[in-house]
Amino acid sequence: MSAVIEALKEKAEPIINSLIALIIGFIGGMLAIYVSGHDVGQAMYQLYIHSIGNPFENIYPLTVTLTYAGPLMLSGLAFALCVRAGLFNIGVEGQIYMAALGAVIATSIVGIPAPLHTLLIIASAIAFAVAWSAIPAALKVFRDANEVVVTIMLNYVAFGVVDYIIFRYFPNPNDATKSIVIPPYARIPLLVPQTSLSWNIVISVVVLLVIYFLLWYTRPGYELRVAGTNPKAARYAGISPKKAMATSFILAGLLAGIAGLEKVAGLPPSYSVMSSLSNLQGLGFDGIAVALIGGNHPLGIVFAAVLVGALHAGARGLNLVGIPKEIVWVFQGIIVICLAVPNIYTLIKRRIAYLRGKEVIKE
Amino acid sequence: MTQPWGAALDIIFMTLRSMVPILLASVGEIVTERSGVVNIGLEGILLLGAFFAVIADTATGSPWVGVLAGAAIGLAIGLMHGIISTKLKGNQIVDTIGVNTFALGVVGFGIFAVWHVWGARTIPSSLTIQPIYIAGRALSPMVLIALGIAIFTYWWLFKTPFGAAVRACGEDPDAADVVGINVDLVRILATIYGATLAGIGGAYLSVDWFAGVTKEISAGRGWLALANVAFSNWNPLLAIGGSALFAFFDALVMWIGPMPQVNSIIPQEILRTVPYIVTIIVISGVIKRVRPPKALGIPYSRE
Repeated sequence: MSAVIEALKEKAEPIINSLIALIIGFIGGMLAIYVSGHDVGQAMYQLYIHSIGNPFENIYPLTVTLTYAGPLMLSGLAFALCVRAGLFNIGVEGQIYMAALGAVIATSIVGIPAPLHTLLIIASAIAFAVAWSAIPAALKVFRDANEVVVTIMLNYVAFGVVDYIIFRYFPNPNDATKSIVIPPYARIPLLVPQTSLSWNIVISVVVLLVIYFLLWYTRPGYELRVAGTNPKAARYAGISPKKAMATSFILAGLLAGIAGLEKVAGLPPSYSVMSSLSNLQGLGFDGIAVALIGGNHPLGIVFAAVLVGALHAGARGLNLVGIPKEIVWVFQGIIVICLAVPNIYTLIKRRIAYLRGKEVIKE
Repeated sequence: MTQPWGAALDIIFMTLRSMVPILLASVGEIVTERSGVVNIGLEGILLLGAFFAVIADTATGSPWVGVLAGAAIGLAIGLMHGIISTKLKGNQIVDTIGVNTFALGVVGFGIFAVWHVWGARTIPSSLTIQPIYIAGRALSPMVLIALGIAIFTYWWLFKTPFGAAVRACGEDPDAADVVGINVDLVRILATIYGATLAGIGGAYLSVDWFAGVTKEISAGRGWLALANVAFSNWNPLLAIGGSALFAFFDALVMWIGPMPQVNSIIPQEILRTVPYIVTIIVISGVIKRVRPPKALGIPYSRE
């Protein structure tokens, strides 16, 4: 019996850590709003009614939250997957840009039947993202180049290249602020009519469950996780850490490809790439926060993506009372900083025990 | 006859100007990493330094107070990261990813909250650091200060007992502990030193170079600095050369970018990605030979 309780405690600890980080993050964010001279109560109320509200009366705010959550799940999972293999892949952002470029280029091809064209758009988006992800994979495996710096640099390169090519060669003839649009037959259909919520969210959850299964219930998935947690032991067991790294990079590229496709082909009303890639920017970076809040675990990432999605949905409400949407990153930044401390819960517990004058128990 | 010389001087001066933030951030990070702590939050610290420098500058009318404000925010972040990396045994990559995100938020939100403008705030040239003139060209005194700091840092890191202590903590913290060095304290101080220099570099961006602050003012320079740390083999003197190399490509792009004859071959948008491509080539091509401090990134705990 006590063993069961111990096991439950062990499972609960990371969740409690995440909750504490969230609370500190929200306190920090509210402090920033307060310092800037806004009404904190009003701001938090706006955040709430634009992300959740009363779903029994009006489901719309919740659909906005889920609209944001869909692609975030995939960009978060892409980062988490690489962490599991022992890598900090900051390059999902750039891979998403590349996916968008792939989708737009394929869209520009004319004269092929609709089903084939749809397939081509999907394949092209994914292929571009995977190809872009293959660069840091190769440099890591063959040259042992620091993946953090390489992927960040590739993000800047991707931004310059994608923004230039799309708006030089594929601008929308009717609207200078966007690219050519994805044809109606290749769009991801709406899940709830009259909202922005498309089948994106379903696709994301299914993909996430597939990756979860692969990582936790198959041999290659197990090998990937072992290689990430303990490369030395992995090598003794005949597992190649390099192979695990390459696999995780490629899978991350695949996930980024789907995430980019969801943003371009599954999000009304634009169904295109906006100038300065404004409808793609930040998705990869926000995925890092999603992965870390979710404990780099696929099931945790579902909740984390909904939470960060709610923050983004709520930020639209903050905009109405004159608070820039960047405030979301203040919340996220503080949350991530707190998540870096592994045993924040134990630390606080010990501190409280100390303040109460009890004897401090050392493990 | 004078024209090619003039052009060469132009590009040297542009390189010196671009070099400052990369040099300051890399020299600081070299000290931090030599002590065994890695800080990938340089990009965020540059951004925060630039923002708070403008606030202090406009409030007091002195760009040098702005530089102090940049240093102060760097110091605060360094203190936090130092404690998380040592006493709290946190994940050094994760918390500094958080610093970068936090900085994007604070600066994007703050520019609007403080000045009620979107995305960018410029300051009059009277509020910027006044240049000195050499060979008829303007040069920021910050260039000389940054070079001085690099040389001074080399001296104290390699020629003084405190420098030896810092290096010992990064190479063999057990041995350092045995000879009575307080490993955690040295690491915290080294992290503060590094982040403070990055904060000064950020202040330079806003109250000197660009005369204002934008949401994207750091533009990857913190990451270039991080690449430069390994490129210069954790040596502050070599970091001068490395920073100059990265800055040279930066300057070259700014110099030849607007020329019509160049533009007809390569568009400016693509040309702007050159410094980043150079960085990728440098860190995957050249850095094979160098060796990071042995205990880099590992929190120290006594057995």
